[in-house]
Amino acid sequence: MEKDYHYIGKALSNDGVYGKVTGSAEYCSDMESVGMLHMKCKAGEVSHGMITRIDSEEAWKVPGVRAIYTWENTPNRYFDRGRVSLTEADNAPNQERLFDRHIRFYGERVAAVVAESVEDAEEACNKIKVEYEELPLAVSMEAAMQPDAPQLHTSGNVYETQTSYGDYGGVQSECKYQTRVHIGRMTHLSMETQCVRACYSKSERKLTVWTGTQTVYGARATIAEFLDMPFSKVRVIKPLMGGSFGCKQEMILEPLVSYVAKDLQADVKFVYTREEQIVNAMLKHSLDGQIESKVDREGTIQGISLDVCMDSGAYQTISPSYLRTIGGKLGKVYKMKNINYHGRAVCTTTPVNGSFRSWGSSEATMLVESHWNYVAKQLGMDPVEFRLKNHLQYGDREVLHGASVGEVRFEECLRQGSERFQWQERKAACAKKNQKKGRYRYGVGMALCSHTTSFYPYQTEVASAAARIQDDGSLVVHVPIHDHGCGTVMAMKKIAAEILQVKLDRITLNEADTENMPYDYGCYASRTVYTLGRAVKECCEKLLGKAKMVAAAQLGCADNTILYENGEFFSEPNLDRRLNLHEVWKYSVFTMGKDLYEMCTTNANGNPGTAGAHFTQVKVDTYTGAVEIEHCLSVHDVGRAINPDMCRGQIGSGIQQGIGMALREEIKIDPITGRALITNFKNYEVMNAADMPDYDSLLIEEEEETGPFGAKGIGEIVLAPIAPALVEAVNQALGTELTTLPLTPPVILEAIKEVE
Amino acid sequence: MIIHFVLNGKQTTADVQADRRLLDFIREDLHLTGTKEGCGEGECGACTVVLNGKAIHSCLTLTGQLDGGELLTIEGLEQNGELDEIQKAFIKKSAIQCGFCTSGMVMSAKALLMENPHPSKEEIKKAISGNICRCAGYREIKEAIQLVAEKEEE
Amino acid sequence: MACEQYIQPDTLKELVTGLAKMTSDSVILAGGTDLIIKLRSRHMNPDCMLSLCRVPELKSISESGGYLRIGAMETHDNIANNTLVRKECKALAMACSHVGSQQVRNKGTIGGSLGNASVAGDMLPVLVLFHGLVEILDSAGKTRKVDAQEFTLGIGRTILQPQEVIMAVWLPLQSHRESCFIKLGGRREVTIAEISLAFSWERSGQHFHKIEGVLGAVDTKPIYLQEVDEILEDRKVGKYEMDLLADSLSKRIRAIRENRKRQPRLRIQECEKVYKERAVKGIVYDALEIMMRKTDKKSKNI
Repeated sequence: MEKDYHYIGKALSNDGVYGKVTGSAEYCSDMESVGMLHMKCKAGEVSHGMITRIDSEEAWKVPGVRAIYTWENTPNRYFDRGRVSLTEADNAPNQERLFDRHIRFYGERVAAVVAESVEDAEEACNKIKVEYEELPLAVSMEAAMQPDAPQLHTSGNVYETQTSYGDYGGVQSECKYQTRVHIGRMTHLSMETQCVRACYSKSERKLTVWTGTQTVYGARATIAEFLDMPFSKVRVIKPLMGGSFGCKQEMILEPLVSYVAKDLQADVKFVYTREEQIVNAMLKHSLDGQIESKVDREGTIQGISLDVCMDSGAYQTISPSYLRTIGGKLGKVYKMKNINYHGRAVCTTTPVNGSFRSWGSSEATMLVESHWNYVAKQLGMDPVEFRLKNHLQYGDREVLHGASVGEVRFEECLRQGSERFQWQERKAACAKKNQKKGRYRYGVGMALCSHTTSFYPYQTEVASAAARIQDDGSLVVHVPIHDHGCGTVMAMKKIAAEILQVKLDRITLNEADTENMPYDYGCYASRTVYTLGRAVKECCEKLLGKAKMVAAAQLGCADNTILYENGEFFSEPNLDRRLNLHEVWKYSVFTMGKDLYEMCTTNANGNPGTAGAHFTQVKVDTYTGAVEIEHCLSVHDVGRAINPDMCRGQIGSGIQQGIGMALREEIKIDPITGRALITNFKNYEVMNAADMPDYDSLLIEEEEETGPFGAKGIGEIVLAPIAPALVEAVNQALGTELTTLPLTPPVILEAIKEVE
Repeated sequence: MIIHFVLNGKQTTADVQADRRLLDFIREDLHLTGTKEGCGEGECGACTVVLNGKAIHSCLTLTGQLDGGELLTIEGLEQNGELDEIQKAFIKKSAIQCGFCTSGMVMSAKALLMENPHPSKEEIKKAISGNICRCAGYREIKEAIQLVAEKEEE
Repeated sequence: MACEQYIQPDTLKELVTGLAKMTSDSVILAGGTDLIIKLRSRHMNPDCMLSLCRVPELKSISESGGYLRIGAMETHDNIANNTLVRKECKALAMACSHVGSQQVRNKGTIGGSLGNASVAGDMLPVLVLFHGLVEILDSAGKTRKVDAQEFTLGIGRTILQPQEVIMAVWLPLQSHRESCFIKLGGRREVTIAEISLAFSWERSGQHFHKIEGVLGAVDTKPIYLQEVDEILEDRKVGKYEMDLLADSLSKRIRAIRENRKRQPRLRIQECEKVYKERAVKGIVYDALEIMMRKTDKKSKNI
C-alpha cells in the first residue's frame, strides 16, 4: 500500500540546485585563495624504463616556479591508492610512490612543478628534460604472463585468485556451452576531472585537504600515514563533486598534493586536464573471459565455470579486489549448485586500470548474461523464460558467501519488464522485418543482474549519524555523505525531514568532513542510502523521542501520550496547546538544562540485492555497421525510491554508459608501445543528446524491510545489464555471436562479412 | 590590450592578455567560476558561454576576440533575484545532478531559446548535442528546455 | 601557449599592415576552434597572432558577378542558415549545418576551416564540387583567386604563404543545378567524418545529368569522382547503379589505403583498416536516395 509521505518518494529535484544552476556552487577547482600555488606534472616519455637523469635547470628559470619534485627528492615510501578504510592497509598491494625512478607506462608522472600560476607550472614542466634507460615492454597480458616477461614489480606481474562451490568438474551433463567475452577499456568521463587542494596551516601545524573523494576517512588515513602526521593534524573535506563513476574513489592526487602543501607550508591546488584524467587516473579494466556452463535439456543451470584475465595496467592498485569481486558475483542471480572461478589480474606496461561504477557487476553481468543468451538460443528457449526458470527467489542464500539475497525481485523485473517493453511482440516484429533481408536489420535483447546495497557480510556494516535541534528549531544532521551528484544529500535530508517534520530548507546537512562527522567507509557498494539512510532515520527517531519527553514535561502529560504532527507536539485532549521544536528546545535547554541532540550508530545486517533487467531493441545498418537503439527499458527493484527523479536520472546515466561500453567507447592502447591512443573526447564519441534513445524506466517499489523507508541502492546496478542486452540485440539482428566489446561499426561489418 | 565589452549586461573595460583563453579570463580574472572546464578542447561543452547571442566554447576563444562583444555567462541569467525561465525549468524537471555540465548546458539552451523561442524536439537535441552530461540520459534536460519552449508559446 | 604579439585589425588596411609582420612562426586566428587546440597541444608560442574577427570585409555573404561570395570569417552557422546559400549551394549549407557542435558552428569559419586543411574537413569537398575559388589577400594588399582544388597541398598544408590570408570563397551560381552533402561519422551530431560525399546534378524528370561528385575524408585531399557521371548520367538510378558506384568508390578507398605508408594509428584491427571501403556503400546509398527525392528547393530540413 502506498504510504503517504511528505518528502519520501516525492520528486523534489536535487540538493543545492540553486547554486548549480546559477554557477555559484563551489567545486574544488573553483577554490581560490591569496597566495595559492598551482601544480602540474610532467608525463614520462617512455612506456617502460628507468630514469637516468633529470635536468630541471631550464625549468627553474621560469618565473613563478616555487618547487620541483621528482623521485630524487621525495620519500621512498609506498602508499595504497585504493584504500577505503584504516584496516584495509594489508589488503591491497602497496606499489606506488609519489615518484618512481622506474617508469611503467607512457605518461606516468616523472616530476611535478609547483608555481604561482598554472601557466608557469606548465611551461616549467615542458622544460624539464628527462633521460631514460628503456626496458622491454609487456603491453599485452599474454606477453606479461610469459616466464621471461619483464617484471613490473618485485611481487611479479600476476595476481591470481580462485573460488569454487560444489564440484563443477564432476557435474555430468549432456550439454556444455562455451563462450568468450572481451571488454575494452573505458574512461569514466566524470565531467569534473580529478582535483585536490591541500592547505598547510603553519600556526596549527595542520593540513586541510579538499578533495571530491568517495572516502574522506580513507583519504585521511592514507595521507596522514604517508606524511607521518597524527590524524588530528589532517582534516579531509569533501566539497561538491562533479561526478565520479568510480574514478574519485582512489587516492590519485591526494598524497602528492598533501605532501607538497606540507613541504612548502602552502595552499596548493592541482586540477587534472582531461588528458591527465584519461591517462593518469585510471580506466575501466579491459578483460578477457571464458565462460563454460552445464545446463540440462530443460534449461536448468547445473553449474558455471569462469576464467577471467584482467588487465591491471602498470600497477595492481585495486585490481585484485576487483577481480575477486567479479567471481563473488557468480552466485547472486541464479540458483547455482556448482561454481568454478579462476581469475588473473595482470600488470602490463600500459596505463592503470581501476575502480569503475558497479565494481565488477558490469563485467560479471556481461560475461555471464551474454553466455546465458547464447545458451537460451542453443536450447531454443526464450531468454526471458530461461531466466525465469533459473533465478534466485526471495531470501535464497547465494552460495559463495552464504548471505541471504533478501527480497530481491528478479521475477517482477522479468515479468513486468517484458510486459511493458512488449518483449514478445517486439521480438516477433523484428523477425518479421528481417525476413525482407533489407539494409537494416532489427533485433531485441535483454539481460538480468543484481547488485549489492551494502558491504555486509564482507565487512562490519557500520554507519553513524548525529542530529541536533538548533535554537530556532531548525535541524543539523551530521552524516558523512559523499554525494557524487546523484542526490544522496537530498535523500538524507528527506529522511530527516520525514521523521522530524522539518522543512528541507531548515535542515543543514553538510558533506563528509573528518573533523566534525562520525566515521564512515565512504560511498561504495551502492550503500549510502541503505546504510547511512538508516543511521539518519534511527538517529532522527531517537531525537524525536527525546523531544517528546521534553514536550511531555512541558505540557505536563505522560511521555507516551505525546503526539507529533506537522512539526507540533500536543496531547489529547488538549489539542489547542501545541509546541514547536523551537519551544521544546528552549524548554529543554533553559528549563531542564539539557541540549537536544542524538548520535547513533547502526549496523546493517543485510545486503538485499537490487535486481535489474534491461530490454532493448536495435536497428543495425548492415551497410555502415551503425547501431541505432530504437527503444529500451530498464527495470529495477529499488525498494522505495527516496528520490524517484534522481533514480530515473541514474537509470539514464547507466544506459548512456552501458551503450558506450557495448557499442562505442574504448580507450585504445597502441599494441606496440602500450600508449593510450585516445587522450581526449575527439575520438571518444560518447552518447550525446542527439544519439541518446528515448529510454523507458520502471521502478518496482516494493519496500525493503531493512532499508530506510524501504529503500535499496540504485547507483551502480543501472550500468550492469545494458551491454549484454545490447550485444544480444545486435546478435539477434544479424545472426552473429559477437562478444568483443565495443561492437563498433567496423567490428559489426566484419561480423556481417563472416556470416555471409 | 585594452578591450571593451558588455559583461552580463554591464559595459566593461579591461586590460587583458589578448592571447589568454576566454575561459581563464572569465574564471580567474573576472572570478566568475560558474563556467567550467571539462575538456579544454571544445568537445564537452562545459565551458559554453553566450557571445553576441551565440553559444560558444570559452576554451576555444581568446580574450582578445571578446573586444566589442557582448558576453553572457551563467552568472548573468538571474535578474533581480529571479531565476531565468530556463534555470527554473532545469530545477523543475530535475535536470541537475552533479551540476558540472549544468552551466554549459543552460547556456546552450539559453542561446537556442534566444534565437528560436519555440524549438522543436530535434532542434533542442541538436543545440545541446555538443554538451556532454554523464549523470543522466539527457531526458530531463531536453524536457526542461521543452518546458520553456512550450511555455513561451502560451 | 603564449604569443609575443597579438594583432587584431579593425579595418582591411590594418589587416594588410598586420600581414606584413607575419613570419613563418606566426599564426592567423579566425574562429579559433582548431587553432587554439593545435597551439596548446603542441606547446607552440607563435611570434605573432593575427586575429581576423574585427575586419568587416571578411564577413558577409553576397552575389557578385555570377558568383556567390562568402567572406572567410563567415561562421558555419551563418552559412548553414543563409537563404542564398541554401538556395544556390545546398551542399554547402548541409555541410555547414553538421560541422562539429553548435558552439563550433557559431565560432568556426569557412576560412579557418580551409586554412586548417584537415583531412576530415567538410568545407573543401564542397568547394571542389562547386569548382569554387579561394580569394587570397597578401601583405601588399593584392588579392588573387585560386581554384579550390589547388588550395590544399596535403594534411594541414595549403598554398598560403606566411603573409597571406583567405579573404573569401567564390562559388559560381548555377541555379539550375541541385546538390547535396552527407557524411558518415560515429554519431549523428558532433562527429568527425569517416567519409563525406558531395553531389551536384541537373534533373530532368527521373533522370539526372551532368552529375558531379566529390569524396572527402578518405585521402589527403578531396577526390573528384569522374565515374559518377559515367555511371549515373541519364539513368534512372536503381540498385544496380548504386552498387556500381559504391563498388567504384570502395576500390578507390582501398587503393588509397594500400598506397599509404603509415596506417592511421587508431585503426588497429584489420576490420578498422578496411572500414571505410566497406562502409562507403551506406553513404552512397544515402546520397543517391537524397538525390532521387523530389527535392523542394525551399525545404527547411537539411
